[in-house]
Amino acid sequence: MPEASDEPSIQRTTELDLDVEEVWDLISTAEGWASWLVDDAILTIAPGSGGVVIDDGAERSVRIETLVGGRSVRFSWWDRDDPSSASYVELEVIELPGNRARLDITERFGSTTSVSAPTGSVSTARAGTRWEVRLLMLCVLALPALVKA
Amino acid sequence: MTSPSPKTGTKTESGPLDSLFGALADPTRRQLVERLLTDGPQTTTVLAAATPLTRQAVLKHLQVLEAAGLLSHERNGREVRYRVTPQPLVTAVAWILDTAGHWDRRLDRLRNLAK
Repeated sequence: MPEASDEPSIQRTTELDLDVEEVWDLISTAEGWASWLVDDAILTIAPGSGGVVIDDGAERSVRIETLVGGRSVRFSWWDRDDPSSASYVELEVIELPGNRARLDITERFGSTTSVSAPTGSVSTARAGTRWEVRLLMLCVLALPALVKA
Repeated sequence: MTSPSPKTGTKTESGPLDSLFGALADPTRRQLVERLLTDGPQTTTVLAAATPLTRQAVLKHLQVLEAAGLLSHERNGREVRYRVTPQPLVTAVAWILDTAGHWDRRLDRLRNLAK
C-alpha cells in the first residue's frame, strides 16, 4: 500500500529526566520557551493569543493555535516581515514511567497544513519516512549525475 | 504548494523549494524520481510499464516534477526522454538539514536544562 501524500515536516522526540509538569512549564510559558526554544519570548500562550519571539537572532511572530492543558501546544510562526513563511509546530508531552517525560515535536511546512487540523499529527507524521532521510536517499542516488555535472 | 513556508531559518528562495517539496510529497512521484535516478533517462511509456498507472497519468506526474525543476526532457524524433536534474535536490537537502539542525540545537538546550 503506497504512503499517503504528505507535507514536508521535521520530527524530533526526546526523553527527559523531568516530570510532565516540569516539561509542561517549559512548553506552555514564555519563560519556558526562552529557556530552550527561542532566544527571547514576548507572548501569551493561550489559544488565539500570540506574540513575538527572537529565534536565532531573527524576530518571528507567533500565534497559538490550540492548547491542551498539561499535554500539547500547537502554534504557527513566521518571519516578522513574511507571513507567508508560516509553519506549524506541535509540542506534545507524554508521561513516562519513573516520573519522566517524553517531548514530541513536529514542525510542518505547507499550504494544506490546516490550523484547525486535529492534534495527534505527531504520531501520524512518525509513521512515514522522515523527509530528511527521504531527501538524502534521493541525493545519494543522484550522486553520479552530480559528479558528472 | 502556495505557501512558501520552507524558508524557516534560511535565506533560501522559498518558491522553488515549495514546488519541489509539493512535487515530492506524492509517493508515486518519488518513485518515478528514484527510477530515473537508478535507471537513467526514460520515456513515459517505459516508466508507465513499471507502474499500475496509465501512460497519461505518469505523464502528468512527470510534468509536475518538471515544473518543480526536478526533471528535464529531451526529444529525439518522436521519443521524449525524462532525466533528473539533481541540483534542486541538493538545495532541498541543505534546507531541511539546516532546519532540522535548529531543532537539534533547541533540544540540546532542553536536555541541558533537564540535567
